[in-house]
Amino acid sequence: MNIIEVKNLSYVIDDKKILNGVNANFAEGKITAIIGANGSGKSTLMSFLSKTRRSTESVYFKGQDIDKISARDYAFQVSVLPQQHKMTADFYVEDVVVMGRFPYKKKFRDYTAEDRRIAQKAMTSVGITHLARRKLSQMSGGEIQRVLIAKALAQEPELILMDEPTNHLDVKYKIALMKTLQEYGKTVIIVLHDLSLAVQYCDEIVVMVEGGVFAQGNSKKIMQPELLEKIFGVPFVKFEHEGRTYINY
Amino acid sequence: MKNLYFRAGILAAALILSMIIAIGFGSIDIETKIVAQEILNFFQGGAADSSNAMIIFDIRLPRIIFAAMSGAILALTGMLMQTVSQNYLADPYILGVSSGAGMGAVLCIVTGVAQIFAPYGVYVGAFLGAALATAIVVNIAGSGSTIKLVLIGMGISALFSAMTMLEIYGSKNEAQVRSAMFWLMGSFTGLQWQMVPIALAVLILLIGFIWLFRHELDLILLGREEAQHLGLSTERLQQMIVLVSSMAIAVIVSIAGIIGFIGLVIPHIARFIGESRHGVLLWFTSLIGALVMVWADVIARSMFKPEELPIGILTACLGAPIFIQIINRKYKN
Repeated sequence: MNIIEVKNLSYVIDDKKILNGVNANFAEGKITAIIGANGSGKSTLMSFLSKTRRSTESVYFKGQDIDKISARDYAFQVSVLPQQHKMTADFYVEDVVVMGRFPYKKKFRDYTAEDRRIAQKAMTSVGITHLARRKLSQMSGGEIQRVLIAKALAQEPELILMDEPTNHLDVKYKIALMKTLQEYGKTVIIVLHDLSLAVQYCDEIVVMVEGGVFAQGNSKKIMQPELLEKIFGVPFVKFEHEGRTYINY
Repeated sequence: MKNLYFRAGILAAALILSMIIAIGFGSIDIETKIVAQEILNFFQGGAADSSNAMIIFDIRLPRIIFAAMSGAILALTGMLMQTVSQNYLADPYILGVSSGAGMGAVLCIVTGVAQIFAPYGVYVGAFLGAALATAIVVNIAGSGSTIKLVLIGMGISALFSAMTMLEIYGSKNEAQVRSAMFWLMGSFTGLQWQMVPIALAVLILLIGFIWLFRHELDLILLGREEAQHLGLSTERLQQMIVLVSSMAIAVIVSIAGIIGFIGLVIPHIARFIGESRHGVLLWFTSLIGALVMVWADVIARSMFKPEELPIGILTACLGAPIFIQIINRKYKN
């Protein structure tokens, strides 16, 4: 069963084809990584999946054209972690995380004790409970990233969309994040640069080249040095160590 | 949370105390002791025909209450504009909204349109001017950079100010010119009781609006895209904010003229003493705005007594250096 189906999605800006007839399926309950070189259209594809950009009759969520789904209904089921955050306000961490409960909140009311409890749980799962009363201005990029991940989890979505969430994270938290996503057990679509993370923690891989899907399939099968060399233009090695697969260049 | 109530309580007490003390200042100083005595007399239903009682109840009290409320209104409007533009340099004065209101109001006075729709002509003119200025700023600057928004606001402000001066220059009626001029600099002189309920209505509307949408306003500060991903349609809220704040500014400008920088500076202080969530920020912004305006008015009344300094000149003199300081700190690197 596919949670998201992309059918022949194209996007042209200033005569440049950013997306060129993308066809891709994202399986429910699986973690799918989108990989590809810079400018291959990964982030643009994500922006269509998250409804940041509008598409008609190209992207289907559970069989329904996402253009026909309201922003609010979509927010119940999908949470989005953008590539960069543009936060102006200096909120406390716990107040940001609980905002993930906004779609569930009754109009004009405050967040309930249940909302606070779920936010607390989300903070625990990314290991930031001790930062709850810290203000965002006092935090590093990596810590803010984890706050936003907690907010996304507090939304309790069916599908999580993440665009390079490991950007600001050090190795420990990269691994912790991937494990959290695995334990969460819902569908995740994630743009990743770290190919070892992709092969170790993701079930499926979508490979993008020049605005189109070049290959798609099981991560163990698809992540071969020959294919990667074709995409990135440098030689790769793949090796096993203590039962784990690593990909290096 | 308790701590916040405590801080808000202190501010509220300071505000009430300041308003009582402020009654004593003016072209004739009245000792606080006598002020307290007259207020006590009033509550005991005693005679209120002394000259002190007249000054206190007919002249100073309505003015001080209005000043406090207009301080809160200007500060809240500044807060709303900072939120909607995600830009902490926004303020009705800097974005040219006040100038727009001033232009609309003066146009109504010098063309005589104000008399046709009397007594609301000036308000209508001010509202249309404010709404026009806001619409232009929001549409041109959009969600662009901080500096772009501020610069466009200043351009609009310059344009509307020039138009106002043209209107004044072209007017043949000297009395109209003088009243328009004085009131463009901002002043609480001669404020009467009938203006108080108008300001109160605007203040209640503003506070009610911000309270109802406190969580939505918080979400806007996460960034427009983030807010949309959480299911909030920011466009409609943005339109409502523009409408409500234009109306609030129009009323204040119509009654007391252009008073700058309160809307810019107060929310910064409020975020520092309180916190950034709108449900909390709202109360701190109102209280501090009222407190600062009460004292600004005291200074305006007593600095060159028996003459009065237009309050707009005073707030600009105090606020402009702070504005420059904020920019200097923000763009240090």
